[in-house]
Amino acid sequence: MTINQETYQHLLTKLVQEQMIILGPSIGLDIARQIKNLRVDENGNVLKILSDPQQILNDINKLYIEISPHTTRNTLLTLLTKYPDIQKPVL
Amino acid sequence: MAKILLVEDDTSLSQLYKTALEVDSNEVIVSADGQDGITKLTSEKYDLAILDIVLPNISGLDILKKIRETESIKSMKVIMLTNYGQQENVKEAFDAGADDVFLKYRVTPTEATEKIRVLLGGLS
Amino acid sequence: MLVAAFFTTICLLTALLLYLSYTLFYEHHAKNSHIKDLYEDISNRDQSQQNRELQLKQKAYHAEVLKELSERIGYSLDVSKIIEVITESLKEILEYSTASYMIKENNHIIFHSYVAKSVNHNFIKDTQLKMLSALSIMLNTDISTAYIEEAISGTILDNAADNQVGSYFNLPLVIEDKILGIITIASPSLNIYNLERAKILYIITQEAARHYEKLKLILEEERRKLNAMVASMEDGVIMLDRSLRIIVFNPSAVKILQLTNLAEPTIKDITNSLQGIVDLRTKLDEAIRNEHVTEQEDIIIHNRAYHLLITPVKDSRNELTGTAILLRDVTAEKELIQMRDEFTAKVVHELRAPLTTIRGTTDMIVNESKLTEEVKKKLLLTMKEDSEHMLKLVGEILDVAKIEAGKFQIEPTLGKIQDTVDKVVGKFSAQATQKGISMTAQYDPATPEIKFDVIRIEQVLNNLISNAIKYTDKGTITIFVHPEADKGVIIEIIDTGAGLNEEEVKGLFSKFKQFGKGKTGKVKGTGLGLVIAKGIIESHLGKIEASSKGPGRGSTFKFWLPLRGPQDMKGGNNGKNITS
Repeated sequence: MTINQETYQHLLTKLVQEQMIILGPSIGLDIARQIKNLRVDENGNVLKILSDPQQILNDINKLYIEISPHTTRNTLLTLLTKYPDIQKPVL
Repeated sequence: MAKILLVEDDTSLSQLYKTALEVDSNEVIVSADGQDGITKLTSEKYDLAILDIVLPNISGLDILKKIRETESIKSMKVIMLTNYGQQENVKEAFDAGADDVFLKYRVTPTEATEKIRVLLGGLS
Repeated sequence: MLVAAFFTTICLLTALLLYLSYTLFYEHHAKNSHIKDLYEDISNRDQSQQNRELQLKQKAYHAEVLKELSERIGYSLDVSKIIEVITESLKEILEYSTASYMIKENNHIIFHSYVAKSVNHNFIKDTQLKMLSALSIMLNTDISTAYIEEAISGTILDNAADNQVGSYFNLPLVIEDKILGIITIASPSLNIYNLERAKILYIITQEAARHYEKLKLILEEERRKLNAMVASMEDGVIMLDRSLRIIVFNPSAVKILQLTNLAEPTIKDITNSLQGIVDLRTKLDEAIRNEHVTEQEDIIIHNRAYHLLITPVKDSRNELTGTAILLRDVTAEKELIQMRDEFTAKVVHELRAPLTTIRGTTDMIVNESKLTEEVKKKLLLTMKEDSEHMLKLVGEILDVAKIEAGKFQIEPTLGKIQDTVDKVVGKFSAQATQKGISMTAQYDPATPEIKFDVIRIEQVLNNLISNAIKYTDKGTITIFVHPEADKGVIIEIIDTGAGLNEEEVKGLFSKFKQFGKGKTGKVKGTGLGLVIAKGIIESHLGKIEASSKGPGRGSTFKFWLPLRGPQDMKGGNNGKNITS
């Protein structure tokens, strides 16, 4: 089961971009940029994933949950339905 | 000597009034029913009608109103009898055209007879 | 030569110095992390000073919001109050121009924007759009076309101002796992909101939501307790909070106002149901304004009379938390008072008539000299009759009073009831014959002896048989006497007379309904005969009932007496009044 880098990139991009709408662009982006091994441009596009993407998904999810738990959970679950092979992040 | 019609359903009382009036030389016809009273009024001539307000069929006030509406008898003397002394009842009787109103528990038949004599004036 | 050497030395020395100073400087510069660090240290110190200040400010803000939340939200559970508390001291820690909130209701959106620093209308519009987008994603539905109920407060908008939304961030508002809406802070300045500055607001919003949920649970628990307490009360109880929302609405109140088909009644439903009867809103205002109980007597709702009480409810800080409304049914009391008044009036009237005659008679006898002996005798006889009638009336009223007070005494003796029946039938047979009615009595030979008060049962039979004759113009009156298993004796009087309709049957044994009837005919009754008959029968621990197939179809009066009535031979029904 190969889930390639690109899939994760898509997912993470969608995630960040939705969070930028929900929380506001500056906050949504600030949180994403807290992840050391992730490169995101100013429009929320994920440019580079520099370490284990699943771990990155876990980490970024954790940060968003801290700020707004309910909306983050909902948004993520909805997104994950389109990426059935990707594991649900653990907290 | 006046011819008086007395419409009153309390038979004891009507007997009493009849006795008192007759002693004063009047002719008294008694009726215990309103309907019967009207029939009598329209078939014979009376100088005075004494009507109890509360009667079984038709009220004394209605009889009074009928008298005042009927051409042939509209100006006859009418006295109302009542046991209800409230202002409204008395006023209602006078407004309907009664010549006098006697409160049964106040006026004795003897007093009533005296008043009637005065009311009927020159008739003897 | 010496000058040249000196010059060269100086040059060399200078070069050396330069070289040395250069290398020193270079070292200093290149590898001198020390100075660099120092420099950085100093500027960091400035920065951390600023950070510390910011942190302190944020801590203070946090504490203040929590305090406000617990004090101000209280019973009202108003979401906009939470938002108010959050945005009120916001300017202490953040620069902003507008603080707006958007809440999703069932079929429309509420949007409220507080303007701290004047912006133009497009700024507000733009903010609104951004909030709609955010909410749409959060709710997973497109709400951009929903109806928006808009309100703007604070500084007046300045449409000449040329400002656009430069920075903004949104605080999602989630309560009890439901997305309620969002709060958005916006400013024309660019890049002024970052995670560090805004994080505290996210935390506070979450805390406020939890606080609200906890409060809601507590209030619901209290509400449940209140409802349990008032659920079984006969009086209608309604409690409203300060926003006139219904906290308590007990089943009696629902019934009184006939709002049983509403799942979630509102204050509007209540005021509507009382329209034309009492202006509830005005009364509520009055109670709140005057801070004491407001009453209104004699309110008629759906043909019943009520007493209305409204009282303001205060909490421990003596602040108004709501109002309580009580509806007490006073119909029965009113009816009773009315019936009693009517009864008294009737008694007075009934007594006056014969007294009037008596007085008139005596007056005439005393004052009239022209009366013959015959006339006088007749008059005195009438007076006697009237006195007897009055005595009878007074006696019967007394009997009824005794029966009602449970003090009616009977003197039962063992004997044959057939004998008493015979006696009464004999007494009235002439009257029956005169009217052309056939009256017969049939006795079952198995009828046992029973204990009964002869005089009183005779009184009952007198009443029942004379009534039967009075109300029958032709046909028959039949009296049956027969045993009932081993328990007692039944006496039935069946006539083919005027009969009774349902309502008349119901009122037969009521003193209120019967009194004053029976004025027609020669024998003037008081109407209380049946009431007393019932009292007598029940004093024997028996039962009496009447029935009829309808007007014109005759009636049946039936009473049952037990073999051995009340325990003692002499006296009473043990002070108990038996109602059937």
